[in-house]
Amino acid sequence: MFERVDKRPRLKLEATKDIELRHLSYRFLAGTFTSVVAGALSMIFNARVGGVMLAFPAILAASLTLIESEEAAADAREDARGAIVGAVALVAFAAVAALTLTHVGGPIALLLAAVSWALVALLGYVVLWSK
Amino acid sequence: MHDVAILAAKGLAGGTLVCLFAVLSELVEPKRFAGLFSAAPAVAIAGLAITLLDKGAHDGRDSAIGMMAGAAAMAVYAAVVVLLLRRRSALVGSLSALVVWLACAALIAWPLLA
Repeated sequence: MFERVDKRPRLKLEATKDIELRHLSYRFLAGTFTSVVAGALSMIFNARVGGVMLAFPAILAASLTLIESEEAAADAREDARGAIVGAVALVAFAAVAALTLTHVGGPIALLLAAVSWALVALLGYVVLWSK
Repeated sequence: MHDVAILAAKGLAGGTLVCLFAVLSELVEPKRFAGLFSAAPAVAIAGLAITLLDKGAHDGRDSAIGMMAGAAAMAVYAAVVVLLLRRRSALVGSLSALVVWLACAALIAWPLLA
């Protein structure tokens, strides 16, 4: 789980041509499902209950299944490892949003939260796995 | 009708943002780095943005508080899936680990929901 990764992170724009619309549509459906259920739970119960669902791992489950079918099980495991740190960063996102939403404007609060996610995710990756 | 429109807006926005992050995930390497984006706050940003417009900042804050529990549970979920993927297919592993997410989310959310 904690072995370092040889390759440095990089953008590979040439992979754009390999993106399949079918795969994107599965992820779109997973995102839509999660969003609608979270919204419905907020309406039926309250915002905190609905909020729990905002981090339901439907998209992750869909991604891992697609990666395994198109690439390899080892790649799916690697993606899941990265998602552990991404999820920890998601806690930071939620915490910053909770702390700032009633104090600053909504867009600023969401931006701060998103930046927090990015910083924690990148820092986590570098500290744990970067060579 | 208003509630249906809000749910439709959240669904559309959430699905769209998930696709954007999915594209980003496809364009980066290595796979472990791309995995960060599998847990990106796509649904959260979409959901919170519409909640803020519809209900205001206090509901948004409450959603974010609940989300902390779900996100912590997602980290546990991802770790369990890594272990399960050694012995099971991604479909079986990722679906069966949802029980772990549910249990962890319920456990962590319990004091937050009071």
